[in-house]
Amino acid sequence: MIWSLIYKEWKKTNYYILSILIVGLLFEAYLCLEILRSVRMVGMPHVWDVIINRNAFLFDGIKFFSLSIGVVLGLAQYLPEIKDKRIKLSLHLPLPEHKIIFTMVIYGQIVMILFSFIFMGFILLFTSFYFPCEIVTSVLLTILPWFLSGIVVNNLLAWICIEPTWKRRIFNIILSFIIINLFFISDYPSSYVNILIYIWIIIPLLIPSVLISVYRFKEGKQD
Amino acid sequence: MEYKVVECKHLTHYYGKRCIYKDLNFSVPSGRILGLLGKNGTGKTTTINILNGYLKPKSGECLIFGENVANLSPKIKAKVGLLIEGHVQYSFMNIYEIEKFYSAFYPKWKKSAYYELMDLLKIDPKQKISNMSCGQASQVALGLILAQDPELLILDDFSMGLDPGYRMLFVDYLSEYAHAGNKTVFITSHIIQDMERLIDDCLIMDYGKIVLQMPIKELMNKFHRYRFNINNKEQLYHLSEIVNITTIKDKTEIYSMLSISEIQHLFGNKNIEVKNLMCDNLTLEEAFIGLTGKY
Repeated sequence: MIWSLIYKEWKKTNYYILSILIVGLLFEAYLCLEILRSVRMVGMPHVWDVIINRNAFLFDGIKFFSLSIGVVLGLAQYLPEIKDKRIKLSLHLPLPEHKIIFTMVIYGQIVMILFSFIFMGFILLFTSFYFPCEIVTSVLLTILPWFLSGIVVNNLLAWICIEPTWKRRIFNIILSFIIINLFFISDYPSSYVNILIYIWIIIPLLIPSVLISVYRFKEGKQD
Repeated sequence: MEYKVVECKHLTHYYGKRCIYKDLNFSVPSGRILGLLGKNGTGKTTTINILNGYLKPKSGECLIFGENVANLSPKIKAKVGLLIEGHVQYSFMNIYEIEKFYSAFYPKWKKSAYYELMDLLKIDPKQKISNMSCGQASQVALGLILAQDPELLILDDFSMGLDPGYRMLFVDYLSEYAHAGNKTVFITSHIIQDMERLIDDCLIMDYGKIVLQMPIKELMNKFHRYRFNINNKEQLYHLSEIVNITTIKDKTEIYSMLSISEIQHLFGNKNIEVKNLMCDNLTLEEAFIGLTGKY
């Protein structure tokens, strides 16, 4: 039964997942080529100098990338459920409701985690060819909060979309904006190194938030 | 004693300050097809939403197979087939994908019942439900319910958006399925002619209350329209045995559960003089209008 739920999520999102993979890898390839172009133009010593002495970050372009794909994936998952209140079909299935909803949410989370591994892996692999491990580590610590934001926003979109009233939905959007902002407080390389553990904790804590919207939906809350 | 598959007790609901109904009580016995009739705004969709567990009433409760609808167990949910208004289904799937999806949840799934209906559809097998007509989508929705083989079917406005051909297909399949399997059906529709062909019992709602719940054959036998000429129709308004008094030109119409001899006896007792008294048998639609009024 869980596999059927996963099958449904896959049917909703398969084209989006494929498109994100292709577009994402092309985008990252473009960013890497831009860096190599800079290296050819100004020389590797200058690039090293800019990174080490001026704390420049080479992959600024990736900043909102994971957030964007989290939103796209979330909308692909949840907009079909709220159109004509189709989520009633899933909630009526002979399974505990929390199991149904958590399967949907965790599917999105797992896809986002896989995306994060692939896209972060691409960047780190490229970086490891041209830079020492200290810079690779710095890149990882800098982009990790940005990719975590994508995982979190995908979760929050379930909470926002399933909410039945627009008044509360707007409140949810505002609160989500505040939460997501936590992942973008500073662009300084490795600035999140001391608080990453706390950022990680946000992810599992937010998963049950979708149940609030489901509960309100089942009560028949209206604007 | 009849087993009550659906029981609604002391239901009260408001939207804001507007009272939809207060202290509503009704039940659906096992093996019966009950049609819920009512004008727009009388609470039919509210009742269906409460029954489905998607609306919490202000007070009262609804039970399905003895369980509160707000917290149905998976075992009971498997026994209930649901048709959402508009034959809503997951439109990003085609007919094979959606059958594959649902079949995993229901041990009694009858694939043949579904594909028997799908064979009547003239579509590309890979065609998504979103690209089907309203009638075709309704056929998919019906096929899925029949394949599920539930003991209770709750169908919200099953005829919405369907042309006469699809409505007839729906009624024919549903009627045969329900009667052959002794299923319990709770159904609403705005097209009362279809309901008349399908239902065993009717539950007629008007603003705030249930007007009537009885077997449809009994209603058709007992409820009549009477037409006559009368000089002073004010005399009629005090009679509780008649409803919905209207006058068109010089002809007055009333509706009543009394037989023609009982009406004549009543008029005689109250010294009400009428001329050209005629008694009409009614269709369900006419009976509905007679009980709830035209406007």
